[in-house]
Amino acid sequence: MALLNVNNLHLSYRTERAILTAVDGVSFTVETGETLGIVGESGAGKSSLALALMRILPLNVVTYDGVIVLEEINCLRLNDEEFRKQVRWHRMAMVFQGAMDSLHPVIRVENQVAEPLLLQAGINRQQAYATARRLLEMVLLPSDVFSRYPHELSGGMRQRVMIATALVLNPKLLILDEPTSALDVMIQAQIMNLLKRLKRELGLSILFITHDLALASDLCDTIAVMYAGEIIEQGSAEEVLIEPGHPYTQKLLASIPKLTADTTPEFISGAPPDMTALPQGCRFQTRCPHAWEQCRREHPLPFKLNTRRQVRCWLFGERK
Amino acid sequence: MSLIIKLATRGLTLFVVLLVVLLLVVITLGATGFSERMLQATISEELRGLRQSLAQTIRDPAQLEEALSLHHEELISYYHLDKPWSYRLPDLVRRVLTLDLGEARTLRSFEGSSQVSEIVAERLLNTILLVTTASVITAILGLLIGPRLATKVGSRLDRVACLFLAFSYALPSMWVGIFLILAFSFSVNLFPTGGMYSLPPPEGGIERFMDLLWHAVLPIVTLVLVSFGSWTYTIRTMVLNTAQEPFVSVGRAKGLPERMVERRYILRVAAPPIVTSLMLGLAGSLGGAILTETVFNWPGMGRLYYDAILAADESVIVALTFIFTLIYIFARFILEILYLILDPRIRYA
Amino acid sequence: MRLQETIKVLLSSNTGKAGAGFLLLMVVVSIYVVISYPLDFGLRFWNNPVVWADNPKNVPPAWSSIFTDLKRVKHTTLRATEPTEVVPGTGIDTRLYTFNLGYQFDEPPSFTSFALDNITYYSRPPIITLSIARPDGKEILLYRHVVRGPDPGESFPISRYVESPYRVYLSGDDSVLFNIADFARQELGLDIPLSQLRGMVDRIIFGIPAEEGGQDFEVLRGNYTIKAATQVYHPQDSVGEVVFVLGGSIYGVMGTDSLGRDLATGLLFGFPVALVIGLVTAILTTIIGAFMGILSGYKGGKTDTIIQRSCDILANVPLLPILIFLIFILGQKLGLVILILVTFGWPGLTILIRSMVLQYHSSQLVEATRALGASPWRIMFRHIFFQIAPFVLAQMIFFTPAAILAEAGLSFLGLGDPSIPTWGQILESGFRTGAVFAGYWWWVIPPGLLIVLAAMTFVLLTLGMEPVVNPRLRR
Repeated sequence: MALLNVNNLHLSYRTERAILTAVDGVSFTVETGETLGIVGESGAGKSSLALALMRILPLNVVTYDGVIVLEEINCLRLNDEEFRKQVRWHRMAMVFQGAMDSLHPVIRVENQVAEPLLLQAGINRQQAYATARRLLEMVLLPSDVFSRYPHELSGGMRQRVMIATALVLNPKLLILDEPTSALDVMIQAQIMNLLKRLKRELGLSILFITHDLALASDLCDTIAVMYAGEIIEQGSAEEVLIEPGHPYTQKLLASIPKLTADTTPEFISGAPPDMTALPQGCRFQTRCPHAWEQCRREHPLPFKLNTRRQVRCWLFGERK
Repeated sequence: MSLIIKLATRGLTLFVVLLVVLLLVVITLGATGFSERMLQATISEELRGLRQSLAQTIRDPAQLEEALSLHHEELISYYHLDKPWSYRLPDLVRRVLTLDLGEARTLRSFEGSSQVSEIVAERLLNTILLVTTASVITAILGLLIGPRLATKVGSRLDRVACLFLAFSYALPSMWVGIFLILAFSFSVNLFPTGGMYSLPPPEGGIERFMDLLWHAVLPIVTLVLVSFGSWTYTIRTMVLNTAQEPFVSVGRAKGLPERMVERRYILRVAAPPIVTSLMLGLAGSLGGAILTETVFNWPGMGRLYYDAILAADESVIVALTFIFTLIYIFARFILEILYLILDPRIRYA
Repeated sequence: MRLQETIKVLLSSNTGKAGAGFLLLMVVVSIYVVISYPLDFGLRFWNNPVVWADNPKNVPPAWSSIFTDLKRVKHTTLRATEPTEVVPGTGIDTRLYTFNLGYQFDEPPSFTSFALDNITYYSRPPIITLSIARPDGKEILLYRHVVRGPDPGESFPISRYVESPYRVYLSGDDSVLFNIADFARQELGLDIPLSQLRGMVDRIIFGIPAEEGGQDFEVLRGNYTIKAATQVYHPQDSVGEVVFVLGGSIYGVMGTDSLGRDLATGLLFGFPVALVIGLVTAILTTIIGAFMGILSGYKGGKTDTIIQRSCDILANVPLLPILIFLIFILGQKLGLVILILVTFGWPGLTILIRSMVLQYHSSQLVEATRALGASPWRIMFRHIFFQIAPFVLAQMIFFTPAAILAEAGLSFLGLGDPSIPTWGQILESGFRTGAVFAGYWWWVIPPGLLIVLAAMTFVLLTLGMEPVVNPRLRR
């Protein structure tokens, strides 16, 4: 039984001009102990997907449906209170993008980490703080920062605090939304090592959202590529990275500069579609070198290549 | 440590404000010749009294006049009227700073004393009573309504409410008082038209208190009506701005109940700028108090200002200007402390 | 152009439209007032009791009579320059000025008065007798006046009452009182002591006793004839004008105050004054505040410190007490009020602008401009100012009601500028003379209402500007 099973998840909300589709029929699974990377460019819907899973919905939500089964709990069947008490942060926690502004500015570090724990019934305060401190040590933060305020910490330290906070209720699934994009390369490496260690020591399942394919290749077991609110390719990390099926994935990989080869990195011309006015057929058609008439006419289905491998492209389906 | 330094700096600045106001007052009085006239008037008063008492003993009119002119010269040199007004400056500043405020020309305290400090002191409490009660009510209303409106931003309720808040800001306090008197006191005799107690005030603790309350209703309603608009609107705006910050979403993600997010994450972080706006609105409350007390004949310092203007009693006006400034900067200082407590971010800046 | 876009956003919301509408209304009224009122309206008319002498005092507006069943007395001024009849005699001519008055009202008039204007005589001074004939046939001799004889050194022809008319307030005049007492005794059989008679004069002239021998009077409706008989001793004697005023119990669009002033004229005058006070203060404060803020934020260093410290001090001074003190000592002049408001107002804006400028100071826009070789001043004003311009405009609009309210408060305390009537001053005169406790609502409610209107106009405009200033709130 997969730890997390997402089937046909939809999220759309109203903006001042029109209805914007953020997540459009996304389906994937995460097994226990597995790290799934969600890769894509900005605006592809990766963060919206994360927030949709955590049920942190925008103000003017129009559609929110699909199936989310986490640890055999059907999440969308729960009402807000139940979800908050049973799932959110208990079974599934999130490390947000932008550590700079993600921590409460006026609460001390250890109090912020202990906060979710202190809300649980029957928790001893001493124990809660002890747990918090233990976690802070686990993320390799020196003990003198425990009683500091976030603005006294560096970016890397703040991100560690966020990670520690995410782990405080022992969730089985950890979602990380671009955890290192605001940090410099060296700190990035430290955080990545920390994540690998935690994954090993705690047996976490991770949903790792990034635009950086290199990071994804480092940490992830499986990869799903998102484009215009959909998953257009998913499979094991090796399969996706070494033999990309979808033209978009291919172009993404081709745009990474290679240390050992003398090739100029390619770029992808054009821009992603307008999410308030989606085209009829394939969403990548305007930028795809292989696009033909069927692509413009019909929206491609995800074609299974093997148990874990899918590509949403007519190249893998019945030509018509 | 830096906390103390920060506080000390603020305190010093505020003290400088007091000095500047004091100097402004004193220099204005000196340069326009006002202080001279005041002193001349005081001297004339003294001489008049002297004339009466001396006339008892000295029968010869020529001798009387001589004695009086001698006294006159003594008084002039005593008050330094023979020197330019700048000479008298330091002494005046010292006297005001030590609250030695002199005597009123025509106004008297309730007991009949002409000591300005006594006149002001007995009214100070009345003003504080009124203003504090109104401020507390306004604060509570704002803290209840402001965040509610912020959650419903853009809705019909929010837009209509904002209109009312804008209306409140535009209301002149004296007019609201007059309106309330006409509506609730004149046409329907629901509340008294003014004063602090009925004449004669009732005996007995509970009845006296109820009488006070009955008299205080309209003035307090006036003060609240006039100030709660901008206060609530500010809270609404601060809450709106804070609610959009990323850490608030994180708070929700952590599984905190919505009420807790509102209180601990939004309100708590919006508190420092709200305190700032409280500081800025303080001057308005002072002004409102002066006007409202005048309309309702509430025997506080504000009404004293009006009476002093009518009676052209300069000593009282000078003393009041100084005391109001003193109260104002004292309140500002308290708020600065509050701000420092609420926002650790600037403690170490 | 930024400005066009701003105005478009402003007018797109209902609040913005309402604010703009009110502003337009105020401007139109102000233009009308500026054109039709003299500049010294305050001193020559408003504060000049002579102008209002013939008006009823403390009466509500004409339209308030809709709300009662009572037919209220219409204020009537009867004038004549030519006599209706001349009765010749030997050596004496009697010139009769008669006025017909149809009295169908349900209450007595608020007062009656009689005036003579511009009398010239060549021999003995003329004698004027005023009497009134009632519908019930009774006639009352009200008043007899002998024009003042020649002073030593005066030669004929002698002119009297040229600069100002000779005015008799019949309702309070002692000789009229005696005449009424006689009338009451002889014609009505009532013996009323003089002390009681005071205040009953008009009631008796225009009424009949409700019951036999009673002292309650009912209004006597019908035609009254007022006769002013002028006895002149020389054919060339002339009388300029004879005036009889029936004091109305209602008057005008907004009623009158205790001096008889037509409140509508005073209230109208307040429109341009309020606009000027508000806008001039706001504009000056904004210009100085924004300039200092940009200067302080951009230059930094010593300039910044000096400006900041000054702001710190000035901004911490409580406005109203200082305003009261300074106006009390230095004189009640509107220009001074504006000066003080600006002096203590600009630091507030400077502090805000400075922090905004500091944000932009190290921004890439400024760096790029610098790299292009633009001079520091140019950078400051053209570029940074453009960025913060909408906010500055919004602040300026927001300041305006504060200035209007401050002046109103000051005037209310009695420190207004007597040469320039404002709504606050009208409020003050009403309050001081006890209009509130007498229930003269028309005197104290409208000025405050107009203050609210003026302030609301700018508050609405500020609300309308909100989406420009705080884009997060743009709908």
